[in-house]
Amino acid sequence: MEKVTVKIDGIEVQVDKGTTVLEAAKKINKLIPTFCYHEKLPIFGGCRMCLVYDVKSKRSIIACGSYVYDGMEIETENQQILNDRKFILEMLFTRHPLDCPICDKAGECDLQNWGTYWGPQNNVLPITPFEKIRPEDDWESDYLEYVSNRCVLCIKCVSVCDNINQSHSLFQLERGFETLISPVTKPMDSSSCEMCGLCVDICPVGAILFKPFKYNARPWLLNETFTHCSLCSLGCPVVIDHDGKKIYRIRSTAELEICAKPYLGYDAYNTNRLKNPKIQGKDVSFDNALEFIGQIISQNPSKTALVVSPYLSNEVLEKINKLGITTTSIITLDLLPLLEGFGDYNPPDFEEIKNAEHYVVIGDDITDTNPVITYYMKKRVVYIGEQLGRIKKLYPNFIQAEGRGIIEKLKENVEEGSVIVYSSYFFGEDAKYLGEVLRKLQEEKNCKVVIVPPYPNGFGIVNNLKRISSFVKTLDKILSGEIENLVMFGEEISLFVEEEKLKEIFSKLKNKVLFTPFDDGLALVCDVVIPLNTWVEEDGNYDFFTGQKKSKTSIKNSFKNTEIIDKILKHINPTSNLIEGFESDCTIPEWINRFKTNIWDASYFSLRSENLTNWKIKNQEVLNER
Amino acid sequence: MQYTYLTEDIRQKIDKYLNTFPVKEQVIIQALHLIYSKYRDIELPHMEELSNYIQVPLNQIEGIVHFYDMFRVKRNARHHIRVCKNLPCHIMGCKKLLELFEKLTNEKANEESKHGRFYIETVECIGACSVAPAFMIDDDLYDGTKITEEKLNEILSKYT
Repeated sequence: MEKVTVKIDGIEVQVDKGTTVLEAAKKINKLIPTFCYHEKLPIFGGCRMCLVYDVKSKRSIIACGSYVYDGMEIETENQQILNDRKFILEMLFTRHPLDCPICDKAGECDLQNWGTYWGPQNNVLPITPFEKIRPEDDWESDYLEYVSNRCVLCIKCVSVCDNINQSHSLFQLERGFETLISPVTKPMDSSSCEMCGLCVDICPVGAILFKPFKYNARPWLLNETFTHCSLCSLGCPVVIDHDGKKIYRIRSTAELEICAKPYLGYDAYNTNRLKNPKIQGKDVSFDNALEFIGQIISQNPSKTALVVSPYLSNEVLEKINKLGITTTSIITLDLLPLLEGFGDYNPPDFEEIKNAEHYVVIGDDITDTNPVITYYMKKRVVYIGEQLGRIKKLYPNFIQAEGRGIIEKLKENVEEGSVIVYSSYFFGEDAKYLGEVLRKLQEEKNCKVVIVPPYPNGFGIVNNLKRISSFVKTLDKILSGEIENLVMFGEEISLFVEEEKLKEIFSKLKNKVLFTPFDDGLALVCDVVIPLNTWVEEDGNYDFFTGQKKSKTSIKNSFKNTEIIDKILKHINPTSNLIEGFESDCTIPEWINRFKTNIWDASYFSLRSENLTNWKIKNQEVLNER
Repeated sequence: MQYTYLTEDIRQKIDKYLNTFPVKEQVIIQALHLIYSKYRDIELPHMEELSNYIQVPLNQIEGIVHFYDMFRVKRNARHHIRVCKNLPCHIMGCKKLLELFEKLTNEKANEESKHGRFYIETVECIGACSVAPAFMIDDDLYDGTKITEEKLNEILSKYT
């Protein structure tokens, strides 16, 4: 690529031809204030905040929208520019009330920041928060709120909805000074909006607010933890704002990758958490409870089975290996047969997926299972599935099919080099067949196969566990009395096994041990219940689709998942005489519930979230109607 | 999908536009003119159907409808009075004309109609600066240069 030399404030910098002045200035760490610019959004150039002085043409130009040329000389902090910035801030402040004390954005507000650096930060004519400069627009939502007075009309919210999320649920009402941001249909909770919260995060002022967070905390009093969201297999970078005890919100980073699962579903981690181990409903100490479990396992290791959850981190899974008992997981129903059919699976590079020309989405709606991957699908999309749901936002070529028909239709519709995205839908035999077909397509037509399960660490189980027994066969063994003790991690079993059958299975068991983060649900029917940390409370590596990534501790608990298993190990003598290897389920009996992931109830975490449940009630029927 | 508002003839014309214009978005304004001339108000169901038919996101269509003064969304009124508020008309006294309208029709400008007969809206230039202050009632353009209360009353009485 052709290089050009630019001089910014006397510092020479070499950049590619076609970069903007702002990007060039970023390389030498020059701060240029912006409102309407974001590196992931198209250039808008509406706020004029980023004015810089071009020495050769002797005038001010916008840094975000002007491209560099060879020998360009830029001054970012001469007197003229300082005057320009001051003037623009003055103009913005004529219509922006200084209600920072009651504004939720205070502390992370761009206007506030730029005002303190370069502006007078006062109103020429004072406006109180109660004065309406322009009409209010009620979004009629339980989660998002729009305060028209504060809006600086950078239109980043509309842009992010159109270009990143692509659900196109915001538009500009009226024009000019009277512009309001409005959802396409009201009430907003029942519109096409996906509640990803990107418009809130990207708003440079406090015009769009997240209602559950409103008036709850000040951003500068909260600790922020940069981590990776472990609610699906994408592992998007997110920030958790917390005070050490409670999570106040989960927001996106500059990568703009977030969906409703963490954004609305953060409240699940705050309520109904299990604090102490329980035996028969009575609180006991950790040592006693773990000793009890140790006894159960060591008395009869061959009659004990273990169900692991794909929400556990690699470190925990590695330790589980040492227990030396029959281990199974729900991934033997769908992911394992798929990988068995596919052979050696190496995920394609994420850049390749972003730059692809043709996408084929099969099975369950990808906007429900892994919404963030749709943010990158900007070219032609084919969707082969049962029903056209939220993915409608991408205007796909919809081909209706069911069961194996989907695979047959896939063979017909695939093109040379297209990206095939699959999350869930097929179980057992069908999944294996799909794996074989995908392998063939990858080799013959050079397709890129994207397998993104709706749970985070499905690949981690495959990579870290040495033996996985069949899920169905293990449960069958319980029914025939071969297995008497069941140790469960997480609650997937209640989602994937029908209720009647689960009751039958539980009645046959002598000891039911459950490791769970929550105080309700299965914890009420199990004999021994041990608290478990989720991804927000313990460091852990997860094998996401995009590679191994780490979730960091935001809230510290007194115990650690890895330590719990270490303590159990002390009480048993691991004599592993089990054969290493994977065993997947081929035939799926009727009592297996083919759990369909939705954006509202993706896991046992989401099912417990009040926000997501409320939104589901409002949104579900409307989606079905359309 | 069944179309209730986009009737056969409208759809045929939209198809013609779709073939003429290289970009789908260029059809929106033409299609909205067709809908507007047929239904007088552009409502959400109309826009939803149009968005569905030409496969363009609804927010773009809604944005266009709210941007241009020539379209109006549901206002619950039979007749639509547009009074220009741009510079030439402003100098020639559009404010007085607006007050006159408000007095005669008993409605407030830019507010939802109370009686269901007139909806008054102040708009940007309607391209009739020679007859400033210009105003339109539905599709008819009127000369506002020598307007008096009596004359205006006479004009308004035509629209029932």
